[in-house]
Amino acid sequence: MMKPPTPADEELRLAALARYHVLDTPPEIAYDDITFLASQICGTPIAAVSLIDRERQWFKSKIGFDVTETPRDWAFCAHAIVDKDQPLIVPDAREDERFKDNPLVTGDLSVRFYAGAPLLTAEGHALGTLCVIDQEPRNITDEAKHALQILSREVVSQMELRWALRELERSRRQQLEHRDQFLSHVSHELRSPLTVIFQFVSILLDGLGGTVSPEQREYLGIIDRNAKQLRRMIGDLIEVTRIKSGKIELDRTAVDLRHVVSDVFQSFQISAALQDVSLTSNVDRLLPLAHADPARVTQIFTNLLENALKFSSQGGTIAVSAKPHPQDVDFVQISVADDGCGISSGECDRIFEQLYQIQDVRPQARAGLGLGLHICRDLVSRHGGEIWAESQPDRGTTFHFTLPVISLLDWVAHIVSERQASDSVSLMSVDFLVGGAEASTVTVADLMDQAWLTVEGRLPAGCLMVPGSYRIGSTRRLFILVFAEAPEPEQLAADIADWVESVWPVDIPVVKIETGFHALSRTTGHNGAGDSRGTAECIVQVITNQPVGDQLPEVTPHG
Amino acid sequence: MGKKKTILVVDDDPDQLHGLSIRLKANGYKVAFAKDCVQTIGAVRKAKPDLVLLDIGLPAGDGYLVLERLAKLNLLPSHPVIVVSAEDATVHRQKALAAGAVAYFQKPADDAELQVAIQTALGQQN
Repeated sequence: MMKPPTPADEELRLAALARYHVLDTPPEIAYDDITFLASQICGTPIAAVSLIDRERQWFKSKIGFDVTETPRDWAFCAHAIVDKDQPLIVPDAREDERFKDNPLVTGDLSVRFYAGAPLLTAEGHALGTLCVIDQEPRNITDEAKHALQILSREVVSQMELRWALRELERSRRQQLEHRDQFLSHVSHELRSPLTVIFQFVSILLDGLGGTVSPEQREYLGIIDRNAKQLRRMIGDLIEVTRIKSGKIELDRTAVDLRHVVSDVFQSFQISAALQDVSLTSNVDRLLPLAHADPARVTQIFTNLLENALKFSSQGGTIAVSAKPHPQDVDFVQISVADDGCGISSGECDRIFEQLYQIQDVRPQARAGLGLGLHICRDLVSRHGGEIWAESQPDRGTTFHFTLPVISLLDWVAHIVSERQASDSVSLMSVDFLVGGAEASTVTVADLMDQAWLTVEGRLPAGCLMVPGSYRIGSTRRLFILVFAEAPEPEQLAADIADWVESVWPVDIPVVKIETGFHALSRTTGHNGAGDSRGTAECIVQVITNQPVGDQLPEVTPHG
Repeated sequence: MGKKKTILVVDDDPDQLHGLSIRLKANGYKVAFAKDCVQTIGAVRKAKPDLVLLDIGLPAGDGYLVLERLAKLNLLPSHPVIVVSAEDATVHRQKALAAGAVAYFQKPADDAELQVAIQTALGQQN
């Protein structure tokens, strides 16, 4: 067998091949179609698009055999790329000194006839061939040979197309990146002069530049209001560039939506009163805690309320409500409804698009860049929720969004981090801790409401436990946290589980927390082995036969 | 009433320096200025300010360099620094606090809040 000679342009040829990023990619119809046509035109049972890599030939497309690659030394195609101007035709490989003892000839494939047209790039590098093979000695007509060359050019065109697409995508991404950098730079630069405007308006308003007449005060107020509008728009611009570049990170924790709503209402009181719009809220008393970034939830609320105010008329009402999601217990649903001018149903989806402006002639409705709702949608979906709008012209618009309910494990992790952050924070509303071997009475205060459960029994030594309750929808569920010290926390937790089982008639999951122990033990006078505050995050693990979630037992509160 | 406290304001924008100094003087502080890193270190040593209001974006050596130098010279405990910067708070607040600043304000800062933070920082120092 004769080793195929190395083409003169070998290194350039390999570099060109690498640039197309075609090696080891999955089959594609475009190439398979050409291979099929080649085998049809030449009347052969075998055809392939073969690419010659440094040490192997690899088949991008093939008909009539199953191998994905062979050593380069075996490749007929490696011979075919040396004389680039015409196809290599081998009528009978057994009669050819170069191939007669080639494993492809002597082996299962039994190659006899071979015709391969080089795949030539515009620079003249041969990357491989489009080839047809038969297991009988034969030849092909000049027309078929010509057709094979035409088809080989089609193969290269396909590779060129894909390369161009990739380049386009790359430059598009680069442009987006430049645009974001530009936007971010511009927004930052705008902030400095704006700072000066705010400074001096407030200096004048405070009379530090001399007495201010009522007219001057009014005009300064107008400057101030517009500067604030500008500040909001710059803030939105920066937020959107951050969204586009994926730079937003959520700092999730347990969020009580009642607090968020009342905080946001507070900040809107003045502007609502000025417009003679009343704000009402209706948050379900048993609403589960959401698992969300409180700053982001506040931002969503603020955006939606600003929006609602913009479209409210004098004497109107904006109603905020929050309740468990009617279909999905793992979510809460929050709604912000105004009774303003409303929008057409066709606009309900489009308003979340970037830079979308409501088709409204009223000037105040068009103030802003049209980014607020777009930002809301991004923030909600980052939380795993959804946002949508319902509206009727002249009846008002209602925005709904959903947020995930905190899971038991996330909630426990939250409690522990709160605990570790400060000794003075009580465990949410769970206000009773017990440790040691003493017979104890454990009182569990319901997380939000009044104490509702009293238990007596013995605790195993060397551990600390915190009973807690957890809500899914309107259902309250019980669990026990065990703060157990290594090395045998599992055994302690198991003991606790036994104890719990003997005391409570229901099956209650026991959640083991390893590193919370020291922080907790200090506050109860139980001497742990040193201060572990600030050590790695807590290890939260559920010691129970049941998965957490739906399996948690339901307990009816009394009292 | 005791001796007037001195606040060193570091900013390369003369208008912002001007505005802040009007406000700070009106609130009863003595005001010193610096426009870059080197001036700032010199001014801290000379004017011995009770507090430094520091911009991050400065010519030739940014606010972080100032913090680093002040920390190295062990001047931070006696001269607490509040950063007031146009840089994005989500990125820079943590960084500035880690570098030894006692508070971070993003421009345009709310004047009332800034004054409260100044009072707090001055109070803690005593």
